[in-house]
Amino acid sequence: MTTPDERAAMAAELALGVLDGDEREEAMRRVLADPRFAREVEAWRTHFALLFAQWPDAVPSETVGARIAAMAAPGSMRSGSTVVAAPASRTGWAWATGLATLIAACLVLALALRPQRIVVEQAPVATGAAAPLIAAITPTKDGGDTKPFAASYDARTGEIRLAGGVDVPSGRSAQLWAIEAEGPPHPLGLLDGASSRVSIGGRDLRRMAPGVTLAVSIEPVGGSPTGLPTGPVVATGTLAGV
Amino acid sequence: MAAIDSAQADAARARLTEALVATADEDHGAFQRLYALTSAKLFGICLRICGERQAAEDVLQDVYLTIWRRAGGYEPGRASPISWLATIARNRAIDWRRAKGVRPSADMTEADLIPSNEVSAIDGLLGQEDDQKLHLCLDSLDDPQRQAIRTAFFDGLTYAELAERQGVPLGTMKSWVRRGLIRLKDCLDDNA
Repeated sequence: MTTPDERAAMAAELALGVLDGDEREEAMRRVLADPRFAREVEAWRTHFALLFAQWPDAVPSETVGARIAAMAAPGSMRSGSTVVAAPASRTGWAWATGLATLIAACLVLALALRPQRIVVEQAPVATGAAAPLIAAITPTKDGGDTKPFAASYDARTGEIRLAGGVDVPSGRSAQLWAIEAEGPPHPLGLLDGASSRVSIGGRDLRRMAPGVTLAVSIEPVGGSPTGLPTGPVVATGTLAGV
Repeated sequence: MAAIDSAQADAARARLTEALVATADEDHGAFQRLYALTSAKLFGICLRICGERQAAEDVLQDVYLTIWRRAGGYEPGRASPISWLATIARNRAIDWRRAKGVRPSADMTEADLIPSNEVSAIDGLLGQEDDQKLHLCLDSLDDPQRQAIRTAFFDGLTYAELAERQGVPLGTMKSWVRRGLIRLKDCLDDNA
C-alpha cells in the first residue's frame, strides 16, 4: 500500500513529466485503475499549467503556418493522399515509441500471417489519417492468465482488431478504452470473446493517434455505467505507427 | 499581477473555447482562428524544448495535427483551453527530444522567463485560473526543490536528466523533488 503522500507525489510526478520507464508505466496504469488518482493527476496539471504563462512566445515562420493550414484544408485529411508533411516529424514518431514499436512490429507480423491481414495496399502517408496504427496489448498485474496480443487500427474502416482476448468472469463485460495523455479514459466499445473487432466512428476516429494507450477493463455487463473504468484494468498497450 | 482585466480575459477565453469546439466539428475556419490565437505560445514551448527552429516547426506541425484530430476530446469546463493546448505542445516536444536522443538545452534562467506582470491576453487566461497560489507555494520551497521542479517543467526533464544536469545522485534528486511536491501540495491545500 502507498501512503497518501506517496500517492500525491506520484500524481504530481506524472503531471510534471519527471517519470520514465517502469515508474511512468506504473503511474499510467494507476490512472486507468484508480479514478481518484486520475483526478489528482488532472488537478496537478491544472496547477502546473499556470507556469505556461511564463513561457516566452515565439513566432513560427509563415511557411509552417501555411503547411498547417493546408493540413486541415478540406479533403486533405480524409483521403490522406494529398497531405504533404515534414518527413522529420514522421521519423520522430517512429522512434518515439522505441521498444513498444519493436514489440508491436513483431506482433503485427504474426497478425499479418493470420487470415485477417492488415491491408497496406498503398504506402502510408506521412501524417495522414490513413496510416495504420498498432499496439502490443500486454496484461497488467490484474491480468491473470491473459497472453499478450496485438491490436491494429485501420483509419479507413474505423475498425480496431484485436488478435486475442482477456478472461472475462461470467456476468461481466470487457470494455476497450482509449487514453490520451491529456485527458481521462474514453470508452471505445465492448469486446466479445477472443479475436474481437470494435468499430468506432465520429469523434472517436480522431482519438486514434500514436502515443494513445488502449486499455481493457472488466466492467458490469454492458459496460461501465460511469463513463470511466470502474473495474480492474487487465491489459494495456500504446498505439504506434507501423 | 496580470495587466489584463477580467472582462478581456473572459472574452479571450470565450473566443478560444469557441474556436477549439468548432475545430472538433472540422470547421477549417475555426482551426485557422485557433492557430492565430495560439501559435506564438505553442511555438515558444516547442522551440524551448527542441532547441532549434527547424525541429520546433516540425513538432509544431505535429502539435496542430494532434489538435485537429483530438479537438473532440477536449471537454470545456474540465480544463482550460490554453492549458490543454499547451500541454499537448509540451508533451509532443518532449517526445521528439527523447526520441531523437537530443540532450536538453541549457537551463532556462529566470531572465528568459516572462515576468508575470507582462503577460499577453492568452497568458492572462492562465494567470487568472489559479490566481498566484502556485507561485506563492513554489516560492515557499527550498531553493534546490523549487529549482528542480521549475526546471523539470520548463525544460521537460526526467528525474535522470535532472540528476545529471545538477550533478547529484538520482536518488537524491528524486527525494528533493518528491519532498518538494508533497510540500507544494500541502501549501496548495492550505490555500484552497
